Amino acid sequence: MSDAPRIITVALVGNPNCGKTTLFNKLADTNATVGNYPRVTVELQEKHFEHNGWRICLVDLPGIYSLTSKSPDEQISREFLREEQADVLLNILDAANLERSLFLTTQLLELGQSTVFAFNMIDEAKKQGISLALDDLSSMLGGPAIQTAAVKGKGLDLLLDAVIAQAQIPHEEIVTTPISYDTHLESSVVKIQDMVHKLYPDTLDHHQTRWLAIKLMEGDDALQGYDNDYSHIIEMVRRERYDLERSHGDSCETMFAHARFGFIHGLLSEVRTVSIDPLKHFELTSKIDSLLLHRLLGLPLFLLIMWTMFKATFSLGNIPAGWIEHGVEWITDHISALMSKGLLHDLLIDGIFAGMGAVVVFLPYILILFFFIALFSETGYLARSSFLLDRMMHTFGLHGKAFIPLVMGFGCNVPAVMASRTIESPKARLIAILINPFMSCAQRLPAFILFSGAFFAEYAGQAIFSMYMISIVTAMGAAVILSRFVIRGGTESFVMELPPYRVPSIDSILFHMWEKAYDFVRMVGGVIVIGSILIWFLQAFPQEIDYSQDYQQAITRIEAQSESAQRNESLTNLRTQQELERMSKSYLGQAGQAISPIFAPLGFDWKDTVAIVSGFFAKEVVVASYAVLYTNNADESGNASEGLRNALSQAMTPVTAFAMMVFLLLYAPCLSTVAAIKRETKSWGWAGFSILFSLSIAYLLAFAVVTVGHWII
Amino acid sequence: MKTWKKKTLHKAKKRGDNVTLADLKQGEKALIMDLKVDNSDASRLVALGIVKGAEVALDKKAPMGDPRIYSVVGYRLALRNDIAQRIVVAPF
Repeated sequence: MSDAPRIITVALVGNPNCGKTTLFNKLADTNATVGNYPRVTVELQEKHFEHNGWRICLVDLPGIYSLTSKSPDEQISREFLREEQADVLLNILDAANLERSLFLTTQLLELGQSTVFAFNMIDEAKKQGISLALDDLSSMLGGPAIQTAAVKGKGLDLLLDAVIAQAQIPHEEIVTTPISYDTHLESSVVKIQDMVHKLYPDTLDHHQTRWLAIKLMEGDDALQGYDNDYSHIIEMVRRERYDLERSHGDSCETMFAHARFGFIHGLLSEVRTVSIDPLKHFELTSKIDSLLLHRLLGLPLFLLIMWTMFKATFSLGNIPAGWIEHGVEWITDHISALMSKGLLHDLLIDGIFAGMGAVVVFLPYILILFFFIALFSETGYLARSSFLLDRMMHTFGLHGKAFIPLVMGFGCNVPAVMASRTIESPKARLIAILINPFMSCAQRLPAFILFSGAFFAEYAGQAIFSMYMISIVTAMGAAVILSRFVIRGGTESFVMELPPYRVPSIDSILFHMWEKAYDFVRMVGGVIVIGSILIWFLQAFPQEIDYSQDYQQAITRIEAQSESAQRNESLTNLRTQQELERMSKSYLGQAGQAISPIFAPLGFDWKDTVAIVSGFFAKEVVVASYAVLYTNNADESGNASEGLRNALSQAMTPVTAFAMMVFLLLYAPCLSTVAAIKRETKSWGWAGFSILFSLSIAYLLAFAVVTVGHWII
Repeated sequence: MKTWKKKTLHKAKKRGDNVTLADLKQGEKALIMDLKVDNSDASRLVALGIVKGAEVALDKKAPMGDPRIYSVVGYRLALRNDIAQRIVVAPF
């Protein structure tokens, strides 16, 4: 034997929710996303590890129910399997749910590739009184059959041993059981197979041609991607399908499905014994569901659970967020003290550190929020919540699964956009992503507090509440517009497996949190650093400013006076004036003045424009910008003080102020959210669309507020 | 297919019933007779065990009656009524 490690590529294939991802993680002894929720694996994941001197490359294919080319997930899996990139297929089956799990297996068998079968969740199956004759299974399926319980790590070594043993069997010696079809169907398949064989006499072997023939007869465009002229085959397939359907009164798909399920029932009657009434095993799940999915109590309970989740997220998150804030301050102060004053100092402290600090503070909220999401997903409640809300969401062209991301948007749009991943239909996912920025995230709240305090004193609460109402109404309206007019593609009906309730495993919840935190820090960190540098540069340059008066001289003159309250006040006033003039002449100020004509119909001036532009980088910056721009007795933390409120109330009418609030609520998503949208839609086009779409809606609604407001008053 | 299933299907066909999955009452069991859905929905449903001759039962309705949960081949599946209305069944 040579010392070089021998490499085997193993592809994991199985239904969604069969414990495939858990097995993937446990086998590689590290982790990736898991959930008791169909379709968590979105892209292909690979892991490499060693077992008994073999190097194993494990590929986690998306969870699929069959090998047709109907959904993107199925296409990815099928392409991978057809190209025979894997040395061994590892088919994971839910031992407690074999009728359905084996359907995919019947299609895998026809590939004629070396396959190992893992009967997973065997512990759950045993509780239901199910026992399997493994030797018979092995011989009937033509590959080793191993029992596993991935969550508990049981049977995994045995499984890897079997995979390695199977990989050593030469391809020619692999014997897979053919599924026997109805005589007429079989003769059609053979006819098509011959034609395919004539087209590719050398490149495709018996298994491959039969596989193609079966897929073609199943109404699948299986030859797409092959480069020969195969139109005569397509024509033949059409004729055969027509004849069969006429003589049998059933569609070809149904005939194939019958043969497959016939095989499955035959197999199970020989290898499976069930000692407990199968209805019993739903008992616990049924009991929990009769409460959580109750016709009257279901929705209130759901709302209560959501409310608890948000309450907990924000009240628990405040504590570590406070620590982080102090930590960032402490580090900033220390580094600031170490460095000499200058541009580099300002760039680092006012630019990068201030920007990153503002974002890192949200990390605890994200961790806690994703703890709950992972908990719901692991237990099976997330699937239920989609079920409960589907009808309501459907009215707006949304999918039941879009609810969780929307609610998360009230916290922060970035993780919310990321959470839209759980929606499998591309159209529904895109809509959920694009309307998310309309959900008023927590970072917009300070601006609402400032404005409603300044203009609507005793009605401040109602003014803020109205923002949340407008937020929801706009999001739903946008969903209707997008699904009707913008995003093409048929609506996918709601077809979803409801897994039984399961006790969540701690390590997969922890991993879920870790992964989201890592994603957040990496993605947002990158964008925020660049954004902060940019905005710092724009407001710090040009350095040489033609001031209208010599502030330095004036300050020195006043400083020379004796210490008094009046002296300090005029000093502050002078410094503020100088800062304001500097801001207005910086690139940022110049840009604000250049853009402000656009906002003139809304009654916004250049200062508002600068605040709006700065809010694009991060919404929480809006208040801080106002603090700098207005006469500015605001304290350092950016809180609205009496002075800022007074100054604002003199500069704007209440109507303009309300229009401003509406605009701030709805206009362009912040830079981090734009980055998240780009990442999730894999397109700068949709990210750009999101900006333009929300800007136009914000502008239109703000204009409506101004028009109606002036008409009333 | 077991003989009683064949009989149930045969009787229902004779009567010309047009009962669909969406007409089932809570707990009511039925055999699937026909899928009147388009190709891509059909192959999706077939892979989930919704196939002619399979046994289904209505398990639970969502608060507004749509979607609904059905028990099928040993697990539970949620379907919107728009699809359920196109699945012809024979209750037994």
